[in-house]
Amino acid sequence: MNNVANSPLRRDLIPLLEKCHQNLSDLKKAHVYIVGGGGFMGLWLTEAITALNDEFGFGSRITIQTLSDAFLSTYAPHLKARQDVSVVCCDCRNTVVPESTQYIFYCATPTNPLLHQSEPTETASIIVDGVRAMFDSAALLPDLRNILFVSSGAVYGSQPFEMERRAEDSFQSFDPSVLSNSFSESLRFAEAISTGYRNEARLPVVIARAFAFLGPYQLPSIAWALHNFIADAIEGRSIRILGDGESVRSYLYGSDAAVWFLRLLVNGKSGDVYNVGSPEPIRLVEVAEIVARRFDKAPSVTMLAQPAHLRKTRFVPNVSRIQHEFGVPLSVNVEDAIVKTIDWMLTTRKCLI
Amino acid sequence: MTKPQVLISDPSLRDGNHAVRHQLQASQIAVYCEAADAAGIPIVEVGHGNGIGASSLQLGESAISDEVMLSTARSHLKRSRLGIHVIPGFATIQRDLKLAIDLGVDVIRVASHCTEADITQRHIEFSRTAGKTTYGVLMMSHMTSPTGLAEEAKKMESYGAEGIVIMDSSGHFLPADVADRMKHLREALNIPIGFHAHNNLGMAIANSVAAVQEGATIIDGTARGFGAGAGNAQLEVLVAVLERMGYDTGVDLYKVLDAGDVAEKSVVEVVPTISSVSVVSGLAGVFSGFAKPVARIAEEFKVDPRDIFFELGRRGIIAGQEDFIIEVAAELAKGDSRHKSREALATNVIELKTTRAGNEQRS
Repeated sequence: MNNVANSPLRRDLIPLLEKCHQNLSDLKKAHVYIVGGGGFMGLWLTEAITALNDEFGFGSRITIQTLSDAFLSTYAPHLKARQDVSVVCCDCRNTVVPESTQYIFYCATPTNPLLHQSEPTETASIIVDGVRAMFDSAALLPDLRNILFVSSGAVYGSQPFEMERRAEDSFQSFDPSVLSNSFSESLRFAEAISTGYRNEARLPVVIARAFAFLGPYQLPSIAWALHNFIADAIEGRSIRILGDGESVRSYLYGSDAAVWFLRLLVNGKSGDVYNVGSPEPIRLVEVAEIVARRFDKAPSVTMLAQPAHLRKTRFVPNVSRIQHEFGVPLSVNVEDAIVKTIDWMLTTRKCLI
Repeated sequence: MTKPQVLISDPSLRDGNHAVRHQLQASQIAVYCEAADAAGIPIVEVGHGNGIGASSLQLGESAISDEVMLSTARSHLKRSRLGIHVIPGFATIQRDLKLAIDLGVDVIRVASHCTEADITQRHIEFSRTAGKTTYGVLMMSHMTSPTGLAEEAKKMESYGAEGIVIMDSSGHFLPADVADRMKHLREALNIPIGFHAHNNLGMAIANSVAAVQEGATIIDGTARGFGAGAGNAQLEVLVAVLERMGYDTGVDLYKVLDAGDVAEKSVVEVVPTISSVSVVSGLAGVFSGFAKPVARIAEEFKVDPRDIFFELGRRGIIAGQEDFIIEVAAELAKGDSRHKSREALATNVIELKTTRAGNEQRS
């Protein structure tokens, strides 16, 4: 327990939970069922709820449903070993939520772009059939209080570069016959399904549209630009940026994201939709420079050739709705978030070697 | 104002290996690498015609091992980066890719048939993880639609490819075909795009120009066009044309002309020409690398090699299916396929396109 109490993740969470644990009191003694909980979001949520149990006597129970517990066993054995955490290995399309559940956190959307491109029908099936299975099961629960369905900011379509931040009502259309849009289209359909269940089965459903996150429980092998930069730097290579590095992203750190999700899960009103992500934009070239500075022998940053057709992209949410309604924190700036993430990756790497 | 840049990749010592039945010697690799390096050619690709690990009875055995080829090239390239062509299946990660990386390869181009990008995932990921510049290559790109090509390219991008090159492996395209495909790739991808030409219909330079005009920034060219079948876009001409168009290739024109001379004197057995068989290969949409085995087998079975090409095209045969050449030749010798292939000859492109559309639906 001491190790956990002193862990960097717990140290990040405690100050945030101290400020909001009273808002989360409905969670006391409750059973939280996390579908797709074996990855970044699910593990951070579990870290937060177990911290509430340890530090604030919440006495909550958590069940993590995951396709495979390999990641959990490798990177979060302390969670798996806890009495208040149980693990169910199961495809999200076969979800059966136990009767004792009060809260469902659904984060089983596959985020790997590789899967979206190579297996678009499987991706669509996981997204759509998965969420249906969860709602069908949830409709039978006697004491269900809330469902938080984690969708994605991808449902909006490509963000125009000149749009500073993407708000919840700023939809754009996209062509569903384009293969690379099938992920977004499937998520839109899943959101429509959730709206249907909310109406027909009177299920309490809140939708969170996730943007980009950062922190422990992410590996450098993730196929996103920042993680490519970190992987290059860890291996002592030059950091390579495709294009001119002017594309813009934002990153919400894991502990902040966990608290945002917890507030929506416990306090969110059915039918409401919220963006979840950092509103602080940063250019990729700045991200690369931050990564480089973290290393004693700073790697060089190389811009790869930039053909004229390469588009500058932007993926930054407007989060004034969730900030206004819940006063959620932005406690870790992007530079600290990157450093914390790299430190976790390096520490984990050492431990696993 | 700075000139727009085009990255030249030179597969003379890889595609050219097709033209000499994979018999390039270490001394030839050394002498050409020195000349290419002096010219400042950015990427020099070396290996068996079908890439590393492909030396085999079916595809043709290399005169020297991959290890000798790559280590020889490595020791003679100072400025130019050393590239390899990798077709998963022929090349394995453990046996071939790791060896190539240990030998100092800089650029890894992972290739698949134009409808099978899925097979490149592990090799692309491995190459990226190893920190190598990694491109995806879609071969026989005339055998799928521009939309299909863009979808496969997008897969490679999602696996981590840092650029996508499409190959007109049978020299089938006309400039408008290339422009259409480049437009689709440009709209779908957010990484550089490129083109690799073959000269079966005399369109290699024109097609490369069309590609550049539609946004391609990686263009392949070989010394004297040294490559499979009718050869590739001739490197020396390509550099000169791009210079005239106002592009910066970073290649020294005089020295690349010298490299062409070196290649002709020491490497290229026979400067590629557009033979009648090459024209038929281009029309039929059959891989240019089939030229040598088709000629040999046609002679053996006493059939017209042009009939073999049209029949191979009618069947949608691709590289790696070389054993079909014998089957087709044998059937032609018996007269089984002659009627069909003559029909194909008469109606060539229309029939071939129909057949290919059918194949695509099934694939």
